[in-house]
Amino acid sequence: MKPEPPNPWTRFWFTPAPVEALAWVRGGLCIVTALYFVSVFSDVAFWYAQDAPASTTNLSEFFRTAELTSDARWMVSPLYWFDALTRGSSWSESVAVYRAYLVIGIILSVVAAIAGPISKRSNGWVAWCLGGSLPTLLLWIWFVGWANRVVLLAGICEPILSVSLAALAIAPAMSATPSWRVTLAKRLLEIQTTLFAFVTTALMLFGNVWWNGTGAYALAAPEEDRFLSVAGTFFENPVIYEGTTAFLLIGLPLAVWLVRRESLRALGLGVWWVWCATVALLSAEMIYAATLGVLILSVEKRSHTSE
Amino acid sequence: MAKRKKQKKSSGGGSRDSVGNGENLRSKTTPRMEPTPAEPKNPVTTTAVPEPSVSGTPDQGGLPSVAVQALVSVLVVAHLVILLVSYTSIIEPSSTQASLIEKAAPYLRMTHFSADGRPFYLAHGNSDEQPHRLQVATLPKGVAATDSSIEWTTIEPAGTAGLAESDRYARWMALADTLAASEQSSLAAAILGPMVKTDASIDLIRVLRLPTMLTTVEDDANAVAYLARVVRDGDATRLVSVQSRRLTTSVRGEDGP
Repeated sequence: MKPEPPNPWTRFWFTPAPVEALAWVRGGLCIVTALYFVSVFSDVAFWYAQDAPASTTNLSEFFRTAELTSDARWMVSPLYWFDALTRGSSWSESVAVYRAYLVIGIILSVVAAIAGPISKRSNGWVAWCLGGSLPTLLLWIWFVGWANRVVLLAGICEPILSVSLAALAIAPAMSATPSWRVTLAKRLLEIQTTLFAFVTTALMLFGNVWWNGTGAYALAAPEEDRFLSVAGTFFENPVIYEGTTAFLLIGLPLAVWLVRRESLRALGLGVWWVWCATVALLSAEMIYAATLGVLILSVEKRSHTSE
Repeated sequence: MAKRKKQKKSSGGGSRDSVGNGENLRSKTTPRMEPTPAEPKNPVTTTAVPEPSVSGTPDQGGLPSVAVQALVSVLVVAHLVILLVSYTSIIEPSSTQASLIEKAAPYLRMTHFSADGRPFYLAHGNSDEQPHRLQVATLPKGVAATDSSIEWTTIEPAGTAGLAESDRYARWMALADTLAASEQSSLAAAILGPMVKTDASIDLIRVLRLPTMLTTVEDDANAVAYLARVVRDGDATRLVSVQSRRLTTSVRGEDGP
């Protein structure tokens, strides 16, 4: 008896795909995560050591004062547990422990990035451990542990990186045959990326600066906190910054639309990456921009069969 | 197992030629999921290696079982809805959104998926987007905390401007500004206190908003976001908020500027 053809929903989410379909996204997200851990390394002692502003003790005090303990109890992190378990000893809120956590995070990022190829050349338990979801799952859990620990210092890149790593962890790193979990992960990343694109634009529209043409200028205006100072440059020409504002406003949804068209995909990728580069240079959100730059690769062009 | 590999190779589903282009490969396999009258056999069931499904029943053409499909579909929809609600609540959540976010808090917070009101809009030109600097001072005897003659020392952010280290400093100070502006000085004190705890010479602390190319004279006149005296009692350090005098164009009473 013939099996019934899958419905569009099943085709969209569950049609098996090879692991190579996610190779670039996997590599890119793992590199960005490694960079994220590296970027935190330098000022661990300033923020998280004993008596430091964001030490576990001070954060607990802050949450108690703010009556946010009911919210804070869900922010789980191995670092909170470790600090609580070792309270009173020199290991609690120890800079060495925090740095070790970051080093493990960097190692996990590298392992998750190369788990597929290594698994392909290995046998036995090494292939089993590296070929499935385990490396990416561990990386995601490790990353969330850190993001929850630094919660008051976290910005807009942490939620996006977390939600993307979680979706990526659904797919195996290596599979001899096409797997429905690869498609599920890819579709989830695709929908999430589309959601970020449209929500970002919608949220921008709530600010006057995106209507009066100074949005791009507002991004660069706090020049003491910016990598690139635009003061006295060609950027101060109204045509330039107002044009950049318009581009930043429409860039993401436009790029998502273009990337899905087979003949316009290259243009769409170009628009997306220029958007990311512009935001990275004008704002202080480089890892956020890099994450988005990778995520666009999960947005697939519409195949003839799905049209 | 070797036989299975051979079958897969003949289907072209995972051949080396296709490795570089996963998308093409996927679209090539897609039609096999849709048997037509001219194609009576389902090629996938004869060529692809079936994966053991989570429910333990054999898969059809590499698809998960119907039960798994249903379960995953429900989870995916729930996840996307929660995500959408969280991200669309950034500006101002409706009561329904607030209620949903509260119910989904365990999921959103444990996974760090929560948007949590963070500035995904990049810039709105608000005062909390201005650069902030922490300044400290020693208070000479007989001088008021708001006296303009006080010499302030600025604690600059570490690292290169615009990169991660400097960004964390900016975020911490902006948080102090937001808390002070929403009349939660005790919370601003809780996050700034540890920064001056170890230096006994510091009597005063303030967070200053630096002017930008988009701020007005009025904005710049209200540059002090938070001002506090440092009160020490043994090992304990407390910050007591001081209301700074502000410049205004309005006529004040006798104690005006």
